[in-house]
Amino acid sequence: MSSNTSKWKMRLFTVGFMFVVTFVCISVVAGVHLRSRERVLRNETLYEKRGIMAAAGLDVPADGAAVLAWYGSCVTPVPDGENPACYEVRESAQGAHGAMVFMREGAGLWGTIRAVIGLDPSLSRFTGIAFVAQNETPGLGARIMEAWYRDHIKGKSGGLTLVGEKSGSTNGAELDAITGATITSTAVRDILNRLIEEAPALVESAWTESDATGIR
Amino acid sequence: MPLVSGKAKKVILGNLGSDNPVFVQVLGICSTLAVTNAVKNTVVMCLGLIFTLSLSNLTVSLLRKWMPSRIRMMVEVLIIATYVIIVDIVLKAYYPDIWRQLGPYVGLIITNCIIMGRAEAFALSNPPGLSFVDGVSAGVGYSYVLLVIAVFRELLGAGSIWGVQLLGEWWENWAIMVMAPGAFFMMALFIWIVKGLIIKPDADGKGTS
Repeated sequence: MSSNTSKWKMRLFTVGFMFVVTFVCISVVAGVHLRSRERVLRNETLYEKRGIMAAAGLDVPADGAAVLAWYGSCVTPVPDGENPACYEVRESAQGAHGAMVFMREGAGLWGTIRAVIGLDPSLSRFTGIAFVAQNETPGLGARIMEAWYRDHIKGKSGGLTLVGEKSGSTNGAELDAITGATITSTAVRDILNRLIEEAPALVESAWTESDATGIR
Repeated sequence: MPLVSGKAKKVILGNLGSDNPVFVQVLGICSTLAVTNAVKNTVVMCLGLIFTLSLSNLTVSLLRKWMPSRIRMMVEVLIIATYVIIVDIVLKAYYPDIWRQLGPYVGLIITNCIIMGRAEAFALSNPPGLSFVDGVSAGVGYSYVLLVIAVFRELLGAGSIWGVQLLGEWWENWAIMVMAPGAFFMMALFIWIVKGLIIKPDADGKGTS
């Protein structure tokens, strides 16, 4: 009888111990999460807004507050809402139309490449690009993140064909490939070519939708 | 009383040398291979691991007298996971760029065999202070090996260290060094050199202890 009771005591203690440890661990993690949640959310929106700024061909300041202020005064999502089709970027708060920025994606080698891409007002030349998500091979495909690669896309027009890495080509229809990363290079080329083809219709329908909702 | 007691000294020296978790016990290889293609990522990974390893060792050791042995592994994993998630959240909040680059590897610290290994082999049977020292030194033992590998991989594979370009235009990057095979080569070379030159085998063929 007594051995039976102690067996049950042991079992109860085991379950109770696990429960208490779990409770403490979850409370700690939840506490840290709640304390940092706003910061994490701010980082995420800031990351996207920095991307839009870079895609519009502007220099992105290191100071987060400056980026948010710029975004607040110069960027209009079209149509305004959860998932806008594109963003209209003005040169300054009351300035002229500077660029249209789009969120685009395509299949890379290991996963989806997501990019923020800007086009000039005539929708015929790229103003800049920022990659917001990619899983390409480090040292090869992941080199799309390097400054020279992003910078050389500025000013290119559509119908791009690939040429050798760091060709220095000034031809608007030639895009440098990355040596050893053919699939990634092709994926970026296709994302860019498709955007320039689809952009006029996309912008047209976005403004129509925006007008219909009466936000503009 | 000396600054470090004899027992602690033995633990520290063991973890750094003859009992090193990476090149002697060959544990934690997943992350050794995965994050060592850039020095910056490696440093963050190592700091995360030292934090998790020392505190999980301390916590397991503090609970060791009450912990029922049949659920000890569940409790250990839970404790380790808690510290790792804290590292992940802190990186996400304060160093979002590095967090983005490290991707899933921070979360994978949970499955780093070194942490579970030290909790099972050391913290369960030693007092908290000594367990903490063991955690820190095992973490440092892991870190310096990773850093050596990372310095070579980034230098040969990208011509830079900590993102600063050191080798000029003449340098042709060895792309294989920043890919997985480069990590295997470096790791094997490291173990070969250390075991062949520094840790001499005993007469029975095992490493010195």
